[in-house]
Amino acid sequence: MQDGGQAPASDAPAAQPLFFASTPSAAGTPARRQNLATPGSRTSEVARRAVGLSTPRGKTPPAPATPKNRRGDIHSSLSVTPVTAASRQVQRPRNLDGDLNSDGTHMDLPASSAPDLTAPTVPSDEPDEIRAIWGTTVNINVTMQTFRDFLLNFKVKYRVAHDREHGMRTRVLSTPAEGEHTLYVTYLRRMRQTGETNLNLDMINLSSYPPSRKLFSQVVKYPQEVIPAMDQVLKDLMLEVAEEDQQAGMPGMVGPEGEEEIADIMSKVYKIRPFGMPSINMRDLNPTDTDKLVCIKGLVIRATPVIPDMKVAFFRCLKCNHTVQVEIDRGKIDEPAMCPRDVCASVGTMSLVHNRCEFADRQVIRLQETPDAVPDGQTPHTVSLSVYDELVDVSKPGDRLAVTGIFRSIPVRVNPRQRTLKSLFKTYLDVVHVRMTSSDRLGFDRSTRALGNDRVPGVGGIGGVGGGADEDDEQDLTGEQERRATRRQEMEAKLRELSQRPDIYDLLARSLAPSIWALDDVKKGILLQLFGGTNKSIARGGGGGGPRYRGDINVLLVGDPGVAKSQILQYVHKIAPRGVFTSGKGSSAVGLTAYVTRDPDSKQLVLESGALVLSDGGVCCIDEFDKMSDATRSVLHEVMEQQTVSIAKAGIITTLNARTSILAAANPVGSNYNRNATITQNIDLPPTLISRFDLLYLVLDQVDETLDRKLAQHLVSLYLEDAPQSGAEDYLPLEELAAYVTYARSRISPAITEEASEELVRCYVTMRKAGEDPRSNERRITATTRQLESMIRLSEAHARMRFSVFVELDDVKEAYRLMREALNTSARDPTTGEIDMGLLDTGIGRQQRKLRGDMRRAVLAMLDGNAGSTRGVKWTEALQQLEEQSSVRVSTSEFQEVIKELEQEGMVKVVGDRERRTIRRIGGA
Amino acid sequence: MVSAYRVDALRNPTFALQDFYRECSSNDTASFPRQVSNHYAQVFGSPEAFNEIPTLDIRKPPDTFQDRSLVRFRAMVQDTSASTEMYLSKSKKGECGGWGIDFTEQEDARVDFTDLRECSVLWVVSVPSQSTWSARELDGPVEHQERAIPSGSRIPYEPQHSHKYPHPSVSHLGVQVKVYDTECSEKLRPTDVATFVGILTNDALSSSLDASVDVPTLHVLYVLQQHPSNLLTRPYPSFVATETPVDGAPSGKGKDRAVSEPRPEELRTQLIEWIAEEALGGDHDAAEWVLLACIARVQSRNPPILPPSVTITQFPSPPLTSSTNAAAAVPTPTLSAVLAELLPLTHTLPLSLPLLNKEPFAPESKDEDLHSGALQLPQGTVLLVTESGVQEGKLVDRGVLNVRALQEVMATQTLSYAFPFSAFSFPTDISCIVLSEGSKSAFFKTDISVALRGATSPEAIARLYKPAESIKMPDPELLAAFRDLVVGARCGKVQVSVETSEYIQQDFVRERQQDQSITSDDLIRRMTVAKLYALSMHAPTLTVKVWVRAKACDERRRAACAQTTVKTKP
Repeated sequence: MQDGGQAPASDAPAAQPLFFASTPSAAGTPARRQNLATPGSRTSEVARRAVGLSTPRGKTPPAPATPKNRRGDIHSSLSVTPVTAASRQVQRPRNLDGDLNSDGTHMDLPASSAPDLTAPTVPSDEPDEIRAIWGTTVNINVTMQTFRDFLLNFKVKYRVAHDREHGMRTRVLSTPAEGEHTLYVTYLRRMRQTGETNLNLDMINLSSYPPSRKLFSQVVKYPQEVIPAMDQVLKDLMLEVAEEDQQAGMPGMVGPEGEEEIADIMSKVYKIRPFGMPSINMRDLNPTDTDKLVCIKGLVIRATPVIPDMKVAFFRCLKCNHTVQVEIDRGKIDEPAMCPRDVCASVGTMSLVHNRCEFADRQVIRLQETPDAVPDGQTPHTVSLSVYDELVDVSKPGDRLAVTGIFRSIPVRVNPRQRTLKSLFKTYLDVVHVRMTSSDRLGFDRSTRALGNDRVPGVGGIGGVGGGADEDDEQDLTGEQERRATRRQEMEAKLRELSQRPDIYDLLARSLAPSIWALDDVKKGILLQLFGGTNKSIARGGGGGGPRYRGDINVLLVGDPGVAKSQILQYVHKIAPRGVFTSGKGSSAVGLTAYVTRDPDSKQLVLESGALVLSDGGVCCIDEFDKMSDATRSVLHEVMEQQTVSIAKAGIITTLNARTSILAAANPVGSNYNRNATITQNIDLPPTLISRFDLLYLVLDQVDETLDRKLAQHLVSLYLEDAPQSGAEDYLPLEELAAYVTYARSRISPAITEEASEELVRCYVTMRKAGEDPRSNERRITATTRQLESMIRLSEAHARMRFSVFVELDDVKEAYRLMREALNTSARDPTTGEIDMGLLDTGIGRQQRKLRGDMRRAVLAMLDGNAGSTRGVKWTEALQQLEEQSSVRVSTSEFQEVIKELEQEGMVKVVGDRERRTIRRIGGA
Repeated sequence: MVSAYRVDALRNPTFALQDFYRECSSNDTASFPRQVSNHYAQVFGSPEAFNEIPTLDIRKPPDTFQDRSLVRFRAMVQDTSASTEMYLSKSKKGECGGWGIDFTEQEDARVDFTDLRECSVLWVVSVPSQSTWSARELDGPVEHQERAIPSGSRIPYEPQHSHKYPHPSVSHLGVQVKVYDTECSEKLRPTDVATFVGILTNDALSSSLDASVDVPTLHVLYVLQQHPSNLLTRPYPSFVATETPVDGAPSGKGKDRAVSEPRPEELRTQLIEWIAEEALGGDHDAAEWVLLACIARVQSRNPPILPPSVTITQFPSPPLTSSTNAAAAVPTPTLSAVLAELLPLTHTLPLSLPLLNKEPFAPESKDEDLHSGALQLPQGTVLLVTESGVQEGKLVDRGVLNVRALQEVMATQTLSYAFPFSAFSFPTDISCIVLSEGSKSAFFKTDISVALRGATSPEAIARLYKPAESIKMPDPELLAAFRDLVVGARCGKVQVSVETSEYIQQDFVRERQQDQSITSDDLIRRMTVAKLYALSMHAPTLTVKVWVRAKACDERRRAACAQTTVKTKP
C-alpha cells in the first residue's frame, strides 16, 4: 500500500538514493524472491538497477512475491513527500524480518510478540522529521505502532466501557473472559482461514481503545497516508500471526502447508476498510473536507459499468525497446517525454503497451440524497462515488448506502491539452467502505429480522465479507453512532421531554389534523395506528422463522360525505413514515400489489411494487374504499392478516412483504348512512374484510345545534383569521409529530406487564360476557379473539406513544375504551341496540338469526302440517302463508335464505323454477 | 462618484469586481461573496441605477452580449439539483477567484484546499407565463440600459436545453447560474422568480458528466428576489375607504387615486363588464367568478386555505373553421388574451389528447437532469385550462399521470417531481380556471363550477374565440386601474370583524337546521368566496354586507348550475 504511487519517484534516478540507504530493492521483497524467482531475472534486475535504470516491475512472477499493494481508492500523495521513504523504511525491514523467520533459519524468534518492536527496531538513516506526514507532526512510525498495538490488544471490554460512557445500552457480557477477548487477532486468523483480504475497521473501536484514541482523528484527517500505513501493519501482523501459529503447530499450519500459507499471505494485498464514523449530509461536504475521510448516506441512482482503471502504465521506447512503468499519481499518468536511458534519450519515442499495463476495476456511482435528508422545498443533490476492486458491483441502483470515503476535489481543465486551470473543481468520493442500510430505515422493526444475530457491541468488521457490504448486523451499531450526532441527540431530548407531558396523548391527537374539528376518538384511534403495536414472532419460543403476529393496526372510517374523512387520510399520509395514498376507485389490484414489467434497459423482467408493498412498514391510506372493485379488494385479505403479497406472474413467483397498516375510508351504500340498517347493510363490504379492521369508526353527520355552532366557530376561526392559528391551543407542527412517531416506532417496543395482561384478560372476558343473555339460549358474540388481539395492539401502541417500555394498566384501559367507543358505534344492532360482534364477523346479527330460526320452524311446521306433503307447497303460497302467520313482515330474501339452508341440510327439496317452484318435505318425519 | 463607479461596474464588471476584491482583501475572504452581494445590491439599489443594467431576454439573447458583460436576468429557478461546485477563491498571487475568472498556473502547483469555496449551480429559465405588460414594467425603459450596439443581422437564437423549460415550443432562454453567496442560494427554490444580476459568460454545463457542453452562464453578483406569488406589487386597498365610518374622513394618504379615479366598486363593475363583454359573451356572473379566481392565491398551507379552482361549464367549442389545417390550430378562447392583459402571470393550457399523452406535466429527473413539465410554473400563475381540444381517443399512461398531476395541483396545490426511486412534492400556487363544454369538467373535480349563459348562437360562439387584436381595449388609464385592482387584490389581506364571524356562525347553524344537506364544506367554500369577494372590492374588512352578497352570488351560481344540469339531462 505504501507503494501506492511511489513509482515515479522510485523510477526517477533522483529518488533512488532514498532507497539505497536501507533497502536494496525498490521492488519486491528480495528474501522471497531468492527462493522463488528465477535467478536469471534477478540478475538482470540487479544489473539494471546497478546502471541506474528502472526495473520493470510488471514482470514480477505471480506467486509468492509480495505484490505492490495498490489500492484504487487511495491515491496517496506520498510519492511527492518524503513519507514514502519513511513508510518504505518501515515496510521493507519488516518484511525482511518476516522472511528471515520463514526462510527456515528460525534463529530469530518472531518479533511479533513484542508489538512495539516493529518500527523502532528498524534503524533508519533518515532524519526523524521526514517520517511525519507532510505538513504535520504526525509521525507515521508512531501511527503504525499504535495501530499495531490496537490490533493486537483491543478487547471487547473497551468498547463496552466506551458505549457505557456515552450512555448507550450495552449488552451484558456473559463471562468476564468475553470482555478480554482480543477481537482483531481472531479476525486476523479468520482472514487467513477464509482467504479474505479486507478488514473492516470500526472507527468507534479505535476511539474506545485508549492508546489508539488519537488514531481516530488521524485517519479522518490524513486517510491517504494513514490507511496505507495501516494496511502495512495489517499485512505484517497477518504474517506474524501466521508464523506464530506455524510455530505453535496449529492444525493446517504445519510443515509445507504452513509454508505455503505464509507464502500465500505474502502474495496478497491486504486492505483496511474503515467505517463507522457519524455520517454527514452530503450538502454539508465542504472544501475543508477535501482529502479527509467522510461518511455520507444516500440512494444509488446510477452505476456505470466496470471501467478498467489504469494503475500502472507500461511504456516502451520504440527505439531501444527500453521499458518504463509509470504509476498513477493523483488520477493522472505522466507520459515520459523522452527515453530515460541516457544512451538513448530519444524524445517522444515512448509508447504505451496496453496489455502490459495494470488495471484496476473501477465504477462510478451516483449517490442521491434520500428524501428524509433533503431540506423542505429543495431538490435532491447527487454526489459521484468512485468504487474500486472488491467494492465494484456491490451496490446497484435503488440501494441505500452509507459510504465511507475520501473526499476529493480535482481541478477542471479548460482543455485537456492546455495548462490553464479553471478555478473550478469537481468533487467526488473515493470509497473505502460501503455499507447497505436497510431501505426501510424509518420503520425498522427488529422483530421482522431473523433472530440469533445478537452480537457483542463493538465487534467491528468481520473480514470483509463481500467487501464489507450487506452486514445487517451492523445496523444497530450505526444506529447508535447516529444517535451520537448532536442534532439527533437534541431532537431525541426534545422528543423525550415532550413524551413526559401529561397531556401528550391529547396533544398528539389534536395535532394530527388540526383543521378538523372534533372527532377526538377517531383521531386518537388513528394516532395509535400510527404508532402501531409491536410485531411478535412465535420464534421467540424457539425455532427461527415462525409466523409473525402483526402489530399493525387497521382502521376503517365509514361515514357520510363531507365529514372530512379524506382530509384525515391526507394528514396521515403526510405524517406516516412511509405513507402511500391511493383512491379505491383509481387503483387496480395490480396497482396495489405489484406488477411485472420488462425493464427497458436490461430487457429483464422486473417486479414493480404497488402501493401496499411501497408502504411496507408504514401506513397505506385508501380512500373510497367502498368503490373499489371486488377483485382489488380481495388482495387486501392477505395483506391485512398475513402482511404479505403473493405474486405469481410471468414466471416470477414470490411473496413480498407488506407490513402495512391500512387506513381506509368508505361511504355507506346509499351515500348517506341509514340509521335503521346494520353496519354491514350500510357498508357494502364483505364481513371477512371488515373484521380485519381493528377499529371501525362511524363518522356520522348529525344535525345538532351546539355541535354545529362549535364547528362553525372552529372553521371561521381557521379560515377567516388573517394568520390562521388555531386559537390558544398549542399544536405540534407536522414535522415534529412525524419525527415523534418515527422515533417511537423505531426505538420503543413495549412489553406487557403482569398487571396489564390481567386487565387485558378481564376486559376481554367482560366483552365476551356482554353477549350472554340468560333469556335466550342463543349467544350473541361480542368479542372474538381478533378483538383481543386488537386490544393488545392498541395498548402497545398507547404505551409506545408514551415512550414507555412497558404496557401498563392505563394503556389497556384506554385501548379498551377506544375499542368500546368504536364498537359502540359500529357493532350495535339497530333493532336491539346491543353490541354484537357477529354483525361484523358474519354479517348476520343475533336478531336476524333468531328471526331465521323462527321462520325455519314455521316453514317445517307448515310443510309437515300440509296434507299434500308429497306434492309440496308452492313457493309463493308458502310465503303468503308465513306472512299471514307472522307478526313481522317476512322479507323474500330472508325466506330464500331459510329455504336454501333447509335444502342444504336435506330437509326440503325445491323443484321447478321461477313461479312454479314448489317446496317439498323430504327425509325424516 | 458612485455613479462613476457604477459606470465602471457596467462597462467592465470583471475589473470592477477585482478592484473590489483588492479593497476588501484586508478583511477575511470567507465572507467575500456576501460582501459582493451587499455591495452590488447597494450600487444598483436605486431604480434608475437598476434600470441601467441591460436585460437578458428573448429579444436580447446571450449571443448579443460580449463575453463577460454585466446583465440582469429575471428568471424562474427551474432546477436546483446540480451539486455545488468548488472554486479556488484566490490565486497564488492573491488575485480574486470565482465568478468565472481563470488563472494560468503551473500544473504541479499544489492547491491549497483551504482556499476552495463553494458555489451553487442552478438552472434558470425566462419566466414562463409572464405577460408582456408586466415584463415591460419590470424591465424599465429600454433606452436607459447601458449596452453595446448590437451587430446588425444575426441568426435567430436557439435556446439550448429546451427540455428544461415548461413549454419547450415557446421561445425562451435557459441559463446556468452560479451563485457564489451560498446563504442567498439556499433560499432559492424551484419555481421561485428572481432577478439575477451578474456577469454573462459561456461555460461548461456543470451537471453534465462527461462531454463538456457550453451553455450561457451567469456568474451572479447579487440576486433580487421577486415578491412571492406576485411579480408586481400594488397597494391594497388602493383607495381610502369612504364607506366605513371609522375611516370616514379622508386623510392625505389616498389622495392620488381616490380623487382622480372611480371608486373601486364602480371600477370592479366596469372590469367585470369588460371581461364579460369581451371574453364571456356578456355573462356577468361568469366574469365575476373569473375575477375571483384571478385574485385567489394560497393563503395558508396548514390549515389548507388554497385558491378555489373554477370550471366554467357550457363553454362552447370553437366554431369549426373551414380551413384545411383545422387540426393544427384550435383557436384559443379570447379569455386567454383578456387575462394576459390583466394579470402579470397567466398561462393557457389547451388540453388535447396529443398534449396529454406526450407532454409531461410534472417535472421529471432523467439521467440526473431535471426535465421541466408544463405545470412547473411560478407561484401566482393563473392557469386557464381549455378542454375544447379534446377529441375521442385513448389516454395512455402519461396522459393519466398528467391529469392526476393537474388535479393534484387544483386540490392540494402541490406538484410532485419524479426523481429516480423517489418523488418529491413541491408547493405550487396556481389558480386554475377550466373551460368545459359539458355540465362539468371531463377530467377535473373543481371547487366551483359556473355555467356560462347566453352563448348559443354561432355568432356568440365565434365572439368567444375572436382573435386578441379585435378585443376592444379600454383606455390606457382605465386598463392601468384594472390592473391595479387585480394585482392589488392579489397582494391584499382582509380582516374579519368579530360581528361578521359571529354572524357567519349563526347563519350556518340556522341553515343546517333548515337543510341537512349543507355541510361544513359549504361553509368553507362560502368563506373562501366571501374573502375573495372582499378582496375584489378592495375592502379592508369582511363585513356582513359583503358576506351576504358573496353568499347570494354563490347561491345564484349553484342554482344556475343545478338548472343547467337538469336541462342537459335527458
